[in-house]
Amino acid sequence: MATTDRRPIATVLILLVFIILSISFLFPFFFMIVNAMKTTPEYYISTFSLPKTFNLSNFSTMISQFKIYINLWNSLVISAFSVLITTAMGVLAAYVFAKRPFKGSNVIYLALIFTMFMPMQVTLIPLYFLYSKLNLINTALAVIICFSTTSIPSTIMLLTAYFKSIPNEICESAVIDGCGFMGIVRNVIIPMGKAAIAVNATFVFLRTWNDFLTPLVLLTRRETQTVVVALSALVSRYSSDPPYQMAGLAIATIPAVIMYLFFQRYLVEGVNAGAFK
Amino acid sequence: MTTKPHRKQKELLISLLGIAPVILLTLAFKAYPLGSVIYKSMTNWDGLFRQDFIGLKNYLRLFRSEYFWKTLVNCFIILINVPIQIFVGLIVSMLLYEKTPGWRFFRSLYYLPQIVSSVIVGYLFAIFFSYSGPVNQILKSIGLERFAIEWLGSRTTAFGVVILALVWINIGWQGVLILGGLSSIDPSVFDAAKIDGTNFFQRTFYVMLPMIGRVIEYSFVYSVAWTFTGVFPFIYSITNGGPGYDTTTLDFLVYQKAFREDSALGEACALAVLLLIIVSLLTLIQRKISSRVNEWSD
Repeated sequence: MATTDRRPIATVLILLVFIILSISFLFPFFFMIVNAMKTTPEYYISTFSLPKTFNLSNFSTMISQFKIYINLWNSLVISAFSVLITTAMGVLAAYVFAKRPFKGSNVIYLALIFTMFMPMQVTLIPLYFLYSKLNLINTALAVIICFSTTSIPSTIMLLTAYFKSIPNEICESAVIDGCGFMGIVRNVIIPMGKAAIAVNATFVFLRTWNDFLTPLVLLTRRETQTVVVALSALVSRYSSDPPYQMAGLAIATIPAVIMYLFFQRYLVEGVNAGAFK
Repeated sequence: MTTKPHRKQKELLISLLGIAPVILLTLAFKAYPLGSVIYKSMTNWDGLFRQDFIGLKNYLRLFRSEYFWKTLVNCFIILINVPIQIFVGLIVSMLLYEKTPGWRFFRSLYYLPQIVSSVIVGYLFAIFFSYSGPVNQILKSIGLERFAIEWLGSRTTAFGVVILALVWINIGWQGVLILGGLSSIDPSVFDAAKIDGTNFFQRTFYVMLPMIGRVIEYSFVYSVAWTFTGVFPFIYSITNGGPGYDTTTLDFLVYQKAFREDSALGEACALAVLLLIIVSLLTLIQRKISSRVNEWSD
């Protein structure tokens, strides 16, 4: 419990536990990648050995036959626009809540935060019928709207807390320099809140990239689906062909993992501060 | 020249414009559907033309049905994942707190499952525990053939697999969150306790746990609420609710009733409202807890 006088044997034991845990976290991913390179008979005969050849045919079928890049592109468009809209709206609102409170702004703030606890299942049924009336089923816009609305409360909560820590004097001197509302946002709030904005954007991106229920319901045609939804359909159809399933799962996982490699430090610090799930 | 009250009004107007987009979006895509779902839960809506007000009949039918209570019980069974993930997460965070060489690397690694889509993790577990999958192959190769069963074919073992997946995906989150709580304790507290001659377990139970109590409470309530609303992708990919309604949870049932079975939309709305009530109650408890936390920290 204190770090000063630990015996070396304790350090070794802790590291041993860490390594065993690491294996339990890495093995499924390792297994997925390795078996994605096997043929189906090879998978059943030697599940646990490395593939005999470096065979990427499962991946290339995914690309040539199922045009999975269309779904990857859909995911990218949906996540990117959700992040943009959430961030733009969130920064403006959080600035008002943090630095320009008015009578009743606290109530509005709490009402917005409350929607964070509303499960998607509750609003999805009416939304589905609203969207079909507006002819928005099978469009990226429908999902982007849903994701933005859902991501706004946590964004506002985090950014408001962060913007409050920006000294009032800086905002005041910007006013004296002739900055209006947007001027302060552009010259003070965004530069000083960069770190929080970036962490939040990463979280929103990952959450929307991985989300399942909303795009599953709103996107029914394969060429409009996100990669996670398209692959879930593929994976359940090819239950007798595990290597093929693994290749699909790997394709959907790799972009998120790459994203994580770049931003993991910020994400983990964010959770450490109790801000996210 | 603008007078002062005039300027104040103008400033207020600008503030309101700043929050207007967020409010409009929330009203249109959260508040309106919320009102709509509550109203429609009291109709015999079939998604097409029929939409007559029938009062609380949908709710009464649900309360009388067998599958509603079964899915509710299922949710409570799956709740077992919460104490397990907190317990394991607590141990992981205590080990990370020792700050052995490489602890930052391990912390990031354990968090990895969190950034993978739940439905993908679910499919991985489904493949692992399929009849001819790797788990059964291992069991057979070490001579435990009789344990190589159809894991997803019976209720108990299927729940076991779902709970294992939930624990696996959340250990890292729990570990990092609780580590945050541990790091906020002044280390001299532990040194003082040590000087007083306490042993490791006394320090854990009487010093450390009470001091990170609020973090654990937070993570407990959060995880319970998440179990009611966030297991959908796991159920979808691992068991598909089956066999029968054996592993169907409330959030899965809403989807099932609304988007897989025809003409039960009124009932699906009633289910969604019940789900909202459960989660709101949990949130209220959480708010109570966090206001208590504020009292402590004041």
